[in-house]
Amino acid sequence: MNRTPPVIVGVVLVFASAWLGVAMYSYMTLGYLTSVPDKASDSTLPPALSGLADAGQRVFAAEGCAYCHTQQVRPASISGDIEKKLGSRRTVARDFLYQQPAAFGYLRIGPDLANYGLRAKDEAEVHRLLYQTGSAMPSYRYLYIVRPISGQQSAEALVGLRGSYSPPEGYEVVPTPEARALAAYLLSLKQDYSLPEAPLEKAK
Amino acid sequence: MSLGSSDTVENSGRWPEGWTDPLPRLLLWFSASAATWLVVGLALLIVAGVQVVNPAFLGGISFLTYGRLVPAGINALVYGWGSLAAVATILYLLSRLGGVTMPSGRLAYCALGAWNLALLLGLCAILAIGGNGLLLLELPPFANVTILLAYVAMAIWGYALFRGRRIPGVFASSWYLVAALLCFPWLVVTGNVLLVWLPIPGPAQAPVAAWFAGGMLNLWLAPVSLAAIFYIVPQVLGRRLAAYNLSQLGFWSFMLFAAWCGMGRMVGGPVPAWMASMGFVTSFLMMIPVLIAGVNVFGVLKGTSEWTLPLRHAAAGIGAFAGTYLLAAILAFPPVAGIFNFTDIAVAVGLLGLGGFVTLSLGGLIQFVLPQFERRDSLAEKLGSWHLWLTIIGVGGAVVCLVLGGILQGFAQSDPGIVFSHSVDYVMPFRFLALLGLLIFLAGAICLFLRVHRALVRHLITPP
Repeated sequence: MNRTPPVIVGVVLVFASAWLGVAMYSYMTLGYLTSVPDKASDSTLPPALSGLADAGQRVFAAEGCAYCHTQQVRPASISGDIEKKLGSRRTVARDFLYQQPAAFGYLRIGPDLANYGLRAKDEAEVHRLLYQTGSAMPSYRYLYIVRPISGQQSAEALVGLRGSYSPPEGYEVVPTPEARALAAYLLSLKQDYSLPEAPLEKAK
Repeated sequence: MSLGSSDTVENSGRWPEGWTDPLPRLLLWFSASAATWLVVGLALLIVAGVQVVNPAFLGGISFLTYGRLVPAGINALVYGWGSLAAVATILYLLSRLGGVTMPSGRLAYCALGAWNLALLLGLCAILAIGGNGLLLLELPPFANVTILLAYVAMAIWGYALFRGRRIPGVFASSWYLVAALLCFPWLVVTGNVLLVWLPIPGPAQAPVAAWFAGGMLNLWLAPVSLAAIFYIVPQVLGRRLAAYNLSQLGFWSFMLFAAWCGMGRMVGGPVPAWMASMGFVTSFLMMIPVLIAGVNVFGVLKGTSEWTLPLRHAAAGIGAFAGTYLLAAILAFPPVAGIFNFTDIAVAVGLLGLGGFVTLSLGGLIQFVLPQFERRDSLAEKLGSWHLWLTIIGVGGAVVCLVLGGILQGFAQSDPGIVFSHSVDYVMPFRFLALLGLLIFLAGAICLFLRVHRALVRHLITPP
């Protein structure tokens, strides 16, 4: 069978070149990136995730947040991301050091979240956004429990809910552990430090 | 050069006496599954699309939230519709182009059953507990392993058909089929091992994930779709491809650039600069195989008056192929990517590739084979032609709306003076119209579903 080998060998070579160039190169170089020491705070950068935030990134992945939210600020040379104050420097591979999986995101149906932790007022605001539909984002009501108030209202009960989202008299809305973890993760999203390969930039 | 003198091959009676050819029946069963997944996947994506327009729609129900419907729908389309149709196309075309067949389809039917079951359970798992946020890797490991094993069982037959061919020479279609046959398992194993089963550290994941997701179209579904087009056109017209010698250049340039062009989505992203440049350059160079394929196919089609249904499918398929890669190349150009990379234009590229190019080409091959089960059934022909036109109108309309909306969205999201929620308001009318396009596309998919299932039922009631 005369031409079998050239086609198969050629396809294998072509595929292998991309496989080595993308998959293996990424693994051998980016896969070995480590944190860098930070003299100012006597710790390392990027900052490690708390246990709760680490659990939260799995909720973020499972709920498919990355289909609508990117976590990539692109350099000022090609995009207006920095001018738009999505971040004060571009996002680089090292920023995903503690992310598993890396939630770099595909689309901006919702806003970029690379620095959401810097924009969010407090945890209560995050919970309100997740619980009630006020924007283009669907409600994640199922991550919360509506329960009767026994004695005093819980300290973590959601406040300021509107319309049909506000619980009936004598009831309160409290986050499940998943919702608490997700909020902790979202609040941890801050790229406000310099990295050797990505110093902080100023908006033009 | 030992290329075949013509792409038109007459195979009847080529296999040993006493063998009945199981492949048309196999293709019928595979098409029935694939068409079902096409309808299921589109229905899931349309529910998700309604939620984009109206976030309160089916709100607060865990298994019907946008973030779970989208991966379930995309996986149903890629692993259900596209991949099953592609596997059937590979086996059928390698048999036709080689003048050989398989002694029995038993293994393939078992593999089809296992594949369907694994995919069904996998999609239920995504809806019930969520995915993992990595495009096209969301199916749970048991489902991906089963699909891979089922694939291997059928790929062995594919390779045997290729090695055992009795017609000398290798046709343009065969190169693409063999390439896809090799790329699918390599891609799926790489993606799953490196990102899900033994995940590499976060910083290395973005390039691998982007390359994998791009590869599922560029290195798996696209080559099979091209093979279907390059088979249908000469077969229907009884003529050679216009520039047959160019075909080799077309094939090798396609493989070379397709292997890299998935990185075009990462321009400006957290990947090494050279990788993003490779993505942009190869996306741009994809215009070479696109031009060659266009010259080849339209050179033959020029002036033809025999516009049969499969031929219309092939012509529309090659148009969608050109449109997909042209749009992807423009989107990967760094200044353009900086504004539009994350807008609805990226959705339009995926829709035109998967819904237009792959659906029209593989659907064309299915409709090419179906008539032998139908015995001049005028309703079946009508359903087939509705499928074609509804798909063209639905996908075409949705793509135009998404591109127009995406242009507004990109400018609005880059303008420091416009808050994010306003950029959503601008694009909403276009998303609504694109949703109508998807509904038309779904109607077309239902026509294909009905045509294939009618043929299947008729075949089961009155076997030949």
